[in-house]
Amino acid sequence: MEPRDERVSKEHLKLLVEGNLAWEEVKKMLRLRPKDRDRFWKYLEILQERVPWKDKILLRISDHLYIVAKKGGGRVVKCDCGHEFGDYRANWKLSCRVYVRKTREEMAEVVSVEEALPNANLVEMREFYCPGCFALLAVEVVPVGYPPVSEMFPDLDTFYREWLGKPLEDERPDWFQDRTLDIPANWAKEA
Amino acid sequence: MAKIRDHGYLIAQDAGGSMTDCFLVDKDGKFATGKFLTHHEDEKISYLGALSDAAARWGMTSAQVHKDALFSTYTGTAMVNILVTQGGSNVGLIITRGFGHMPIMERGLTWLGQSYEDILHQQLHEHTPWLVQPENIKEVTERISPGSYYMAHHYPPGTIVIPLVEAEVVKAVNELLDNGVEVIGVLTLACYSNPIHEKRMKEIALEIIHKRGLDIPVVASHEMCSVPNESERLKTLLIQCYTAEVARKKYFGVEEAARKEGFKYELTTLLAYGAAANIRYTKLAEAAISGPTGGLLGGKFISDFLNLPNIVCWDLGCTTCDIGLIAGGLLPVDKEPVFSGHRLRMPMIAIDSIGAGTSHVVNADAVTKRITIGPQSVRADLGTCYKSNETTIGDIDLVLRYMNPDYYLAGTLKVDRERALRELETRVAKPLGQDVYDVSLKILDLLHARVADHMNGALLSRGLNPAEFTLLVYGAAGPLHLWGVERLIQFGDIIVPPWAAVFSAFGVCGADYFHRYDKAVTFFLTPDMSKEVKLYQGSILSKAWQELEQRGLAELETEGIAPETVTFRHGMSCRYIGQMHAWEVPVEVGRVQTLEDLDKIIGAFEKSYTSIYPAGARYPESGYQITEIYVEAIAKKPKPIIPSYPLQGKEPPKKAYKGQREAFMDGKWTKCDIWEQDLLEPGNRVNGPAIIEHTQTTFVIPSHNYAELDKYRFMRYKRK
Amino acid sequence: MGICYQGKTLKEVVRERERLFKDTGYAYGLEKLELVESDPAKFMRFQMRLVAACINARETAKLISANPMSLVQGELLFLLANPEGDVTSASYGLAGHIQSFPFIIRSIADLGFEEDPGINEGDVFFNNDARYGAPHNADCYNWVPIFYKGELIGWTVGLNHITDVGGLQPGGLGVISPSVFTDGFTVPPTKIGANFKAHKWWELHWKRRTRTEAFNVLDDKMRVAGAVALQKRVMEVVEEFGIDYFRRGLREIIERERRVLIQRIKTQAVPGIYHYLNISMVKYKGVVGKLFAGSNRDWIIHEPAEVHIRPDGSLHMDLEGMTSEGDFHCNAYEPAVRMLTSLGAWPMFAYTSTINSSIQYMTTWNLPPGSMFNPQNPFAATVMSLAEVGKYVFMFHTVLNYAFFARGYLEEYLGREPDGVGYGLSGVMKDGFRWAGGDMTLITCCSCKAFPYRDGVAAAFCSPNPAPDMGEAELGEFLQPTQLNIGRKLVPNYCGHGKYRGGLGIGMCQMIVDPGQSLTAAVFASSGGMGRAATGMGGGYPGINDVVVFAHDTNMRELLKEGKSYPRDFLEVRKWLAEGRLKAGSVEVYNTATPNIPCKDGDIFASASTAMGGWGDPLERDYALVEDDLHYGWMTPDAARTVYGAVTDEKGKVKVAESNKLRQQIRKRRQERSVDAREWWREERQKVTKKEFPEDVYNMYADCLKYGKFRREFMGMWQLPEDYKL
Repeated sequence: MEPRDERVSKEHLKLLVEGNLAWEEVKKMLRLRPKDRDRFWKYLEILQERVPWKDKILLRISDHLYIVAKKGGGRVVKCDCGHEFGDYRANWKLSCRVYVRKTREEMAEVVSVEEALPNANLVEMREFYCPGCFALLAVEVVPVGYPPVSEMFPDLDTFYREWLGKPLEDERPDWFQDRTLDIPANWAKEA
Repeated sequence: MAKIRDHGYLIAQDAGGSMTDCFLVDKDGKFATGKFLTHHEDEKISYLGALSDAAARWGMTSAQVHKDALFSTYTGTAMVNILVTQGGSNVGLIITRGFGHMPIMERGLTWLGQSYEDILHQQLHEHTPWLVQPENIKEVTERISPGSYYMAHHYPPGTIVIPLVEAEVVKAVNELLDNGVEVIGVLTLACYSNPIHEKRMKEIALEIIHKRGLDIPVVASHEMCSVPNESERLKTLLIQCYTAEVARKKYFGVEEAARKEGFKYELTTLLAYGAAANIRYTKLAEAAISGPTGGLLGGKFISDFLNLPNIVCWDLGCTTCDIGLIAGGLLPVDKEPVFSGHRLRMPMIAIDSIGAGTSHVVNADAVTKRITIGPQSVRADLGTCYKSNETTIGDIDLVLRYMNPDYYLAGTLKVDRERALRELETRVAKPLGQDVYDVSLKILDLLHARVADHMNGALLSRGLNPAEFTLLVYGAAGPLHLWGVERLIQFGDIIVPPWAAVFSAFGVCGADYFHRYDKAVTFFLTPDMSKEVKLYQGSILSKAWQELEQRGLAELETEGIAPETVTFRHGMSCRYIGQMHAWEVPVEVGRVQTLEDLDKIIGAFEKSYTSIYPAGARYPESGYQITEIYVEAIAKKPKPIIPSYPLQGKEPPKKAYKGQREAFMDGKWTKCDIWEQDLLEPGNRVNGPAIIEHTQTTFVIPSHNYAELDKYRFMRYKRK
Repeated sequence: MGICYQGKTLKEVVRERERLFKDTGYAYGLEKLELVESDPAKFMRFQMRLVAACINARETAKLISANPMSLVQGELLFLLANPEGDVTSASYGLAGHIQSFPFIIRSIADLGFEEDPGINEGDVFFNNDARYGAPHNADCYNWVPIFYKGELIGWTVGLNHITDVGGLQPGGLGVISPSVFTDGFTVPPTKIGANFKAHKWWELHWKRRTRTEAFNVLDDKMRVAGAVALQKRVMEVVEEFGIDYFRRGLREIIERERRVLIQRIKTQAVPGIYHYLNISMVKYKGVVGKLFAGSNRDWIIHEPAEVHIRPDGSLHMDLEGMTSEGDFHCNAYEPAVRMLTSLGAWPMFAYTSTINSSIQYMTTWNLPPGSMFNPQNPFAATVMSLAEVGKYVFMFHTVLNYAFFARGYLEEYLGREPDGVGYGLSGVMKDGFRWAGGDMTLITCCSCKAFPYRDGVAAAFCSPNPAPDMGEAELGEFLQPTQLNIGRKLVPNYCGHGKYRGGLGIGMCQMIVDPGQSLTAAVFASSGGMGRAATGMGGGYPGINDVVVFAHDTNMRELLKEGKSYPRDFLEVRKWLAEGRLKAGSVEVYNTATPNIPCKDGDIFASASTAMGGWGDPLERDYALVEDDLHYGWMTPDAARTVYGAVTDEKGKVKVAESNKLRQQIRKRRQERSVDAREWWREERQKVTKKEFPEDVYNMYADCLKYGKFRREFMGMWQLPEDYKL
């Protein structure tokens, strides 16, 4: 285990993650050359300490969401509230609760300037909630019928093996194959 | 140039961020210099400390000097510190309705003073701390037109388009007073073309303040600078409101201390455009950026004294590298200087600064083999050799043995060369796979190249040729790094003054006593214009110059200067019609009576324009526009004289010899003679490889160079 | 016998540049960086001297300009390129343009300029034609070759954004143009001068083909003067380091910088596939009428991107599925795409003290033929291609923000969304004097999106220029005397909400005064009326639309006579109209670019832009931040309540207990109103199968389903029959 790069301390990073780090310190991080190479490991420690569950965090992918390794094998998307969204290879939005703002009035609840409202004749405003804690996880402003946007689909095996130099135990070639479309396919079958 | 002058001492001090420098001139022009740690919380302590230190060299006390002193000029970073510590006045602002967010938006200039890389790395953009709290910004209905580029086709300048709603002013003033503001600034758009609304707003404010039995200054933006660009004018106004009175208190404190010791006169300070002025002078914000100005005034003094019209002033400190140009005996003026993140609209002696100095951090990347110097600086912590955990240029100076580890500030400051070496190994040499000494030398090359490019830029962007200039080297680190810079630019001559470390204080001592006034004017000269119209506009110029002269006489009189002793300098800013930028040119006489006078003025502009740009960039077809004029009202003030000494032999006296030291020069360890500067004599020649040490500076001379002391003890750096 | 090293022709060296990279994967096949490795410090010095030369050229030349966009707002750039066209150093300013210059050189090589008109010492060249490498015709390039002992060793270039391009609409940002013939003054690569000086005839073109002759002539002089000055400085560097070092050095700069960029991506990002989407609106219906039948319609512009951060650290941008080329202003060519999008690359990973074109060696693009950014019609209009290309600047921000956030480098996060409102003017004053002008205040200074650790910063950034600068109202008015500024401010509530909210948008308000015989305004707006962005970040709401309001035939003059006041932004215009304080004959509100709009004395023109998106769930916003917002007037109590679930007293203090309760209720309502994704999918699918789309949406899908990739996703998501057609 290489010595920890203290130029960015875990304490400072924690403050940054929580939005409490002084701007002067953030600037130091921005100018840091080269960047602290162990940042990711410090980050994971902090995140792991913040969540109430034990599953190993592999990657944080949104304010509330993580890709975690399940004991019994498998890599799933999990909310910090504990709710699980299933295999990370499928867009987690398809495992959310969804509310669609269709009218100007509905949109006006969250857009506070009427002149700047999206054109309700052309687009709808989709909100994706966590079925566990009902935190707002994502917002889309798109025309009706637009396929949900998949924000990021990380290549975890390459990341851990080639970029971090610490391969994951459960490497498999098919971890980096998008499975999003399986979900509607199944729904269609069941319908 | 004053010669033998009225009896009495001259005291000049430059209070820097860490040290306060004192330059003391006695009755026959002999110098003594002193230093003292700056006490920001109570500056009279460091004022007296630095003076005592200097006086002690003559076996005197500060009191003895004060009793017999004619002038004491005190400048420094007082105002910067007010900003840094956010210890300014509680400001109220009344501004044209709709523009109340200007102080917060700052025109979007969130990158001023940043390095090129940081500007691209936009995550680093930031606004400056508020000089006025949003709740103390009040808006009033009014609008005046600045006039137009299309001249007679639309509004003439100063047209009142929306009249002032006075009721709103009354309300605003009362609210601000209720909020307990300590000073009120007023700004309207286009006030420079017609100040009537600002004047009325100020009147109303003063009436109310008077009625409420308060004593609160009210400043109108046109009084600070009657010229365009509302954002810059606003910043100037706010800096005045925020810092002036707080700084004035500090200065009064210093004056009081001097008076207590028997000083009979009033304390003066230094303004950004190089003038000494009474600390009672209203527009004290003009003293805000006087720090580096002292050095240039020193340069101007030397320029006059040695009759060298072209001088490049170079000050290398621990965090900044300042370049100032004196061309044709003139100090160039920057009208939009940047002052700790604020862009102001006030004349300042033009100084090009970059972040480069001995406290700058050095880094290297193993993968990309990239070396970076700065932009971070460890300032007074020097480097890993002293209090810092970052490797710096200063560490390299020590590792290569240019610096004497036992002679930092005459040995009062202990440094660790071994640690510096170790850190340099691991952080720079190893990642680059290079020998630590070789790579160190190359990093110095890098620094020297940056400085040289900076000098070149300053010269060439004005179309000037280094060979026609004398390089004047000062600042704690100037003489230490001269050798590297000199190899990259061919200067006509190079001078290192013996008091290089306190050169700014010397400059302060040599400052003229004067006020400068700028005024925006509307003056268009088109090819098809009739003689009458030309002369009519000329008469308006004359009037404008006269008006400023009167203002100068009046203000100087309040400072006890008899009008008959006052003299004037005149100038203007001119451009081709259509251009956005105007170039400042001095004119011989501030009057236009005949077409010849007019031709002279335009001729002066054409001359300076073509000295900068290729002929293809001229555009006389479109005509000329004079945008601003200025007047400098000058009072007499005694100045130091630089004494000369009989020349001794070329051979330096034994007592000055301190033995030898190996330093890493030109890729190999080289035996250098070590000399004590103060013990060298005029006429002496010090052959490289050598190092001349002084308690405050170190002067490095490689093998193919030498230094000669002239009759004024100036060290002339030359090639063998 | 060619003019390049070893007698090669320009065409040869340009082809070689492409071949060497294709074969070896290294710029110029430089597997080993001899100069860099043998003496890194000397190399750095070499690089810094070139940069210093560029910056000095810029700082000197810009003063000649007649154009506030250049002098005050910094819309100009000077740069040095090697013979092949790779930019090796540049000044501050419009940093993106270094990406397009290589294409310009490739064009003149292919056009056989070496034979005719010939390339000689002192020649001055010009181009502002998008088909040959300029992004759009408002960005004008002047360049001169650098010769050393008869060998072409590089180019120095000056460019800036001019005030008026002589198009259908006044200004440089006109958005109505069906074809290149209506774009305005567009000049393909041309030799316009010799002996380091432009020919006299060249001025005539500016005088006859644009509305702002004097400005444009002086700008042209500025670009030439700067390029010439820079050329002289570069020759000094050649003398100092020797021609061989210079020749190889320029190439090593490119390869070394490529490695720096790859290194940054590998250090800070996470490999994988990321998606970005922008959807905006172009409105021509009824504007150009019968004259241009193909343009008499509206378009919903579909701008998707699938970004691959590859295992080797390079980036691939696949834009398949985007809107097809059309008879509108937003067609673009690869140079424009690379040029403008690089603006998103600088802050995210390409920042350096020596900006250069190395990005081209670690990024690849798929721009399908026939799509908007690869038009097959040689006469496609491009006058404001940047309006739509610009949307992809924010692809780099969005994608890398996710990556940096996941990797733990939160400090490197910087969010932006399409921003900017500008306008062009042309008029005839009462005495018959014709004039024109333009303004970019709300383009050259913008706010940014929320960070994952703090609110977005207001008035601190600029998309086209790393150094934002709003300019000065007094200067603007001096040049546009009919536009009396009565407001320049932040607009309350005007942002995307979130746990951290976006930076507040900036508003401008002007009263039209004494326009004389006529005054026409054409306003550019970046947002497409469907919100500022299609997706929010981390649960935050995306930014909200630009707003352009015209109130015609008002009673402003009467009000002012009575000593009344004036509105400062579009919110107050609305409020005052509602209250009857302000009367108007007609009011126009736009969220997109406008057609030409005639203005009269007393009209109010209020615009606003850069209302940026938030980060995270608004219900998690710290009460202290809510109180600050209320205290400073950035937010109104009703917004605090409805959006943030924060109940406040009259002093603006948050009532914690009540607020916590309200936040619970809002969560409850979310639960009640929302359905399982599957439920939602079923409903949405029905509409899709029934093809229940509004006309413009229908047309968008009909167009985009022609592209395989989008069709696969769309059909797969809604499980549609193979024969599904629109």
